[in-house]
Amino acid sequence: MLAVLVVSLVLLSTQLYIYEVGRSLEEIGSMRVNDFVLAIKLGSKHAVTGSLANISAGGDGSVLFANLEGWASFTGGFYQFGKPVLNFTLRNTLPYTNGTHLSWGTDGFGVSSAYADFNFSLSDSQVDVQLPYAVNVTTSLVVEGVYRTLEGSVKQINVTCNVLNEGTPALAENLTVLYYSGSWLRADEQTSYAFTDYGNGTYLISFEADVPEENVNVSAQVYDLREIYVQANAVCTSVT
Amino acid sequence: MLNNKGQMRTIEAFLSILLLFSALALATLISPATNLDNDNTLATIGMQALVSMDTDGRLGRLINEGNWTILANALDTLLPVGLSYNLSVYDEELQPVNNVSISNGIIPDRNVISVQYPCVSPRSQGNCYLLRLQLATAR
Repeated sequence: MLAVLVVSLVLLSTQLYIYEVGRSLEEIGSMRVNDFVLAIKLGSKHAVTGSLANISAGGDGSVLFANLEGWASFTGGFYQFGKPVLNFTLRNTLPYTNGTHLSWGTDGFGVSSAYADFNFSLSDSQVDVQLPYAVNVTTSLVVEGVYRTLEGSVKQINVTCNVLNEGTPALAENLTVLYYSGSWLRADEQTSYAFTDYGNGTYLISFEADVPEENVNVSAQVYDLREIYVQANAVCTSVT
Repeated sequence: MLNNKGQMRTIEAFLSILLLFSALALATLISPATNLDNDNTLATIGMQALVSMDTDGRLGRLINEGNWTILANALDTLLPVGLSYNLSVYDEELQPVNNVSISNGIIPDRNVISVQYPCVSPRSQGNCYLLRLQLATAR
């Protein structure tokens, strides 16, 4: 009798274990759906990023709509977990026009930004996902400059640039500083040019230049690591 | 005087049989409905490897640049040791993009699972790609 009781308990506990393993496999199945949804969101972000890189470098403003339409159409034919439908609208409230906002001002602040709202749905007999989400890709640049007159019209100019992605410090792929002396000239062509990268999105550019003008105007042009272009102009302040 | 030992043994045997069959019936009831193979686990591992490469846009960038060696190295690092993989990349017209094999060896004939992953390049062209990752436990 005791032996039968033990055998029965072993049998039941084994079945319970298999049941629990089966449940975890069901959870893994739903994780795959989550990963697929994440892939759609990542693709949306990359499409917006690539479009902004294109537009900020002089591309046509319609690229954003075209690329997102291409992505939505591409994912629509992707019947893996259910019927996927990706809809999007470009942000058209100020300061955005057709989902983009480029402002490269003379006040030391420049911004290149793109904004789109998405709605993703995935439906099948076993899956029903409705996911609204927004993608905002923004590269900002803050430029500050100071100068000190050395001799005659020769000036020592220090320019500090801060690069930001979505408001947080980010690295630049390429940074060029220009100064105005009758025309816009590259600072890195000066023999005294010094470039300091603080590694946290802050860059200090120092150089000496002959600037007869009363105001020392500088301009910084940046490509961030996502290849998004932004520029900002600033008037340097005099220090003694 | 009658001896009741024989009757007790009989009752005990009946009870034992009843208990055993009850356990068997209960065990059948709580059997899982899902298939217990490891296909789902493999697919999840493959999907998450691709997601982790796509998070910072590296996946689309490497495809755009045709940098298949680095892509294979990244998969070697992300996938567990003992898994065979073969990655195929297709463009929007479903034409093959990779002109070299992105694989770590021979995929066995049996128990091969396939994961499909949509991807877009974060570069200005905005190219869309379909990735098919085949996975199998290495022999």
